[in-house]
Amino acid sequence: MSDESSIESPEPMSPPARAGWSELWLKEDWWAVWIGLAFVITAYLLFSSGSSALNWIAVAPAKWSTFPKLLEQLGANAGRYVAEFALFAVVFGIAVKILGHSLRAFVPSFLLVYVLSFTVFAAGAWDQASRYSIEPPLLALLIGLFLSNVVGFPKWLETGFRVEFYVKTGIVLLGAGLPFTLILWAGPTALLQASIVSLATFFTIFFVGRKLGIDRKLCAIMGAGGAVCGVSAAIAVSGAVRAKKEQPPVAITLVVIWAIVLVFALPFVAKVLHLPTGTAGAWIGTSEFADASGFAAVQSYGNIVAQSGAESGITGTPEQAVWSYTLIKVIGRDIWIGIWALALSIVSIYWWERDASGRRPEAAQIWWRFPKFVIGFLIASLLITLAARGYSLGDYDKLVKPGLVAPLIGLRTWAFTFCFLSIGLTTRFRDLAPAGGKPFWAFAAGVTVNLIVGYILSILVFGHYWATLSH
Amino acid sequence: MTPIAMPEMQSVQAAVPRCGNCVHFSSAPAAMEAAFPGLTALSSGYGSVRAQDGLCMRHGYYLAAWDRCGDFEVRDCRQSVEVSA
Repeated sequence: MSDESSIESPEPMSPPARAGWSELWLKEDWWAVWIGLAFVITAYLLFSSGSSALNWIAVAPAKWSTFPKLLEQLGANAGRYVAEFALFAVVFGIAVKILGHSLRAFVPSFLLVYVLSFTVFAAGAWDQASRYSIEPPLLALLIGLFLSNVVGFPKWLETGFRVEFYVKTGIVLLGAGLPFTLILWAGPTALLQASIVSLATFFTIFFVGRKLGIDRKLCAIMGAGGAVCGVSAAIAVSGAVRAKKEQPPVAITLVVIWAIVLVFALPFVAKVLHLPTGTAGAWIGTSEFADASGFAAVQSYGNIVAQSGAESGITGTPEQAVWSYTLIKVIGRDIWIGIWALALSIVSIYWWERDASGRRPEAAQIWWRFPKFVIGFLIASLLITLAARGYSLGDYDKLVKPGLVAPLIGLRTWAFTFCFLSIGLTTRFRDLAPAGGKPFWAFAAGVTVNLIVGYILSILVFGHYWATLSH
Repeated sequence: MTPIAMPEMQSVQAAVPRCGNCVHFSSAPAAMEAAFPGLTALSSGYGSVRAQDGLCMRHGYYLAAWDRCGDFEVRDCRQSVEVSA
């Protein structure tokens, strides 16, 4: 290693890295599993005992036409909203406290997130919302971006803006609405499609970047960011290849900017192309980089199609869009990050940066880097699938769906809305590191290939498969 | 808050000359979020994918806790870890 001068430490006396069992309470992924599964198990116990307590607490604004009607609704359900806020504040509050955040800062911050989320929900429930193209996920993102970039707020208020925590919790809850049999049936196709697109995207960014003279480590970091799971992949590969400190922020900037562009672009392009919801979900699953921004795009498209009605000629349900997106993104891309990191660390250690330090690739990182919330997602799916096993399809729709699955979908929608708002609230463009022209063009080339190959596979090759995705 | 020694197993681990046990290495999630602008927008310092990666303050690298180099200086766990009594 070169003998460079020391750099300033962000926290010079921070404790040494800890791993092992403590990860069960020191990683957000595990907290998402505990919280998500606690909701699922509680929902099942309440459903089995005939209680509708979770339905009572999982409240959201219903359709309204005038402002007084909305206020009337809010007044009638005030107790339920207070209980819902308290429930979320307690479960998330316990987690963030143990993760090391200030509870005193979290509570007012989360109150702001909850109130803004209610506003977004209410806007989406307005009976004129479709006329003005108001899509709750996109509205949440825009409100967040406006507040963080134009209005501004004190640093301590950011404690409750936990994009990843909310989306991971939402994904575990999403498992409750996705039949396990569907994961087994469609998982291999999702994996095949996602792998082709991931490899094409990675090598495009890598080789275009190299052609432009960009450092090979940065090419690998950007490639992983574009091909696998966005910022999370970029930061994982940065550690695996021993990146220079200045390199991860370049990839972060590119991923964040392109992800936000695609959140707004993909739903409207999909609508112009009249894509069935399942097909659009698969395309967005291969094209969006981060789980959080992808869910914003796919949920928006589901809403657009649902509001357009039968006259739009677009087939499919909002749930189909979410299902195919989740299968491609989570099963097809996210869970392979450890493999990517290991492969690139081998290349880095044996080809790019051979030295006499005795450093070796660590195979166990496949597990250490594994996005553990996926375990919660699979368990939730399995539990609800087993719980619904004795019911006919008719009884499932009549009893299980409204009594067990619907409140979990309600809680999931809230968690995703917290997430979409938090994306905007944490994206401050002036704080992002300058990426430079060459990295921008290398990444843009990857995005272009990704969109084209993803389109060919999602629509032309597997289009019918994704369009007919169902129970 | 009383500073106490780490359990025996972790003291043994501290002797292993890897970055995670080095005085120049920092992996605290909050510090990573502060060091990398935009990290919290679509990811997190507290996620599993980051494993135990951190910053080397001596060489300016972001690397894995199991990485190593010739400039290793052991970190004294007892100096920096405090546990409620």
